[in-house]
Amino acid sequence: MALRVFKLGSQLNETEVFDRICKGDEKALEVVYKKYYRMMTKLVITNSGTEEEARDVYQDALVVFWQKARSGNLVLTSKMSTYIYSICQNLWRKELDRKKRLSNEEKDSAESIDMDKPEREKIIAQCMEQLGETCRKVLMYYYFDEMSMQEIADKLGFANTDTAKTKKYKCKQKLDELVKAQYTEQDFLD
Amino acid sequence: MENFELIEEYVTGRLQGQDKQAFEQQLQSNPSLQSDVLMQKQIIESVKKARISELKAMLNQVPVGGAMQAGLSAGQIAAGIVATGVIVTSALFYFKPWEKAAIEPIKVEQKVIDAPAKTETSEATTTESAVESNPASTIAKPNIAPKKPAIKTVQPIAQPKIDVVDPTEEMSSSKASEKVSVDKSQAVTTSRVAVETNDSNKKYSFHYQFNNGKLILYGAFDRGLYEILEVNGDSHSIFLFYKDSYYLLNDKQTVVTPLAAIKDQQLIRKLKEYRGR
Repeated sequence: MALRVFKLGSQLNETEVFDRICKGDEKALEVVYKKYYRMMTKLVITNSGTEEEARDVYQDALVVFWQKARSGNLVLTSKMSTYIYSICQNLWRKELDRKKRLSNEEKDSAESIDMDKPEREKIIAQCMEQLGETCRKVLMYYYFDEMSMQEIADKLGFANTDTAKTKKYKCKQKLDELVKAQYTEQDFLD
Repeated sequence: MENFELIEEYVTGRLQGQDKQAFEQQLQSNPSLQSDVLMQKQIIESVKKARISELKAMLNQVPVGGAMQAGLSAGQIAAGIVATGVIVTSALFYFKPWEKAAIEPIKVEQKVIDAPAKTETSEATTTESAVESNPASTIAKPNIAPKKPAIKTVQPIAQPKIDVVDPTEEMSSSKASEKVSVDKSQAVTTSRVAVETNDSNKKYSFHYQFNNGKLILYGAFDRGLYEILEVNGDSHSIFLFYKDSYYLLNDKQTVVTPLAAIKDQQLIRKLKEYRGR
């Protein structure tokens, strides 16, 4: 099925692709990514961004789009590309603002509220790595994609929703334990 | 953590109304609960971030070469290929006496414009590989005509840039287990295979054969754009690209044979990669 979309090329049916994205079809997201790559990255490149930044912004925008579409609350009132373009614009504007602030107030200590946070993120990320591939996927699908247990079961080939539920519970527990082993609870209270 | 589910519902925003209020009240007077909530927030945040990274890594694998996009004319594709300094000729075959073409290998530095690559394997792929380019094939203008934006509402953008897509990440995913050996170090040459098309035989609608080293394509090839890719590695392989599909051509095949599209995704990706350069 997914391949068919690739072959459609320019006749890509927008509604169909959008529906698939809403259903969590990553291939459909890839199709969109490829289709609008030039257009979206140009926005950043012609506004004092590098190619790398352009790609980053575009990818971030698509991730935002993906999550919104997945949430089921997104009703497209314009073309999909127009919508994604506006996300890119917002993200790039924010990034430019951030850069500006950074250069203006470089020595302003107010910026560095919590220096420990990135460190913690890193450690939790390492704990994530220790989980098995399936566990990671279950948790990511559940918390980020907000998939239902049925969707998770379908996607990962579990027998039923109960299996998915149990998996999710156990994986989360495992992750919590790993993280806790790294920290005493006090560390989380600043 | 006995409040496990409650905390999770709260952190993921699913706890609403009175339950939420009650929980928040409890939270205010319970430092241990506060600590749990904080930890859960950070953990879930990290899970989400991991997923974002994964999605972005996935997108990084998608080839986005401009010449790959649909709707480009034959000339534009040819221009794109020449500009990137590698492989293939297209409909130009008709006009060139390939046999006489001077074979002067020219080193072409590959255009890989990219900030620090994200994958460890990148160094293996971005090194300037010596690519033989047949000077005779550079007929097309070496500029890339970018695809027009599909939307008119965007602000006008001047000076289209030459495609600066990084093929690195995409290359890094390739596995050694490909059926046809298409190795990074292998030279991809401009095809010097003479091609002839034959649309007169009703029996052969989409076939090919080699006749005295000359490739004969049967079918309505004139109307579409076809490209011949030669890959010189341990074994010499010839591929046909036609209407978004790739076909392996056996240059020993002297009998008229139907063309069958390659289905191996890995190989297709690799061929795309070479074609896109």
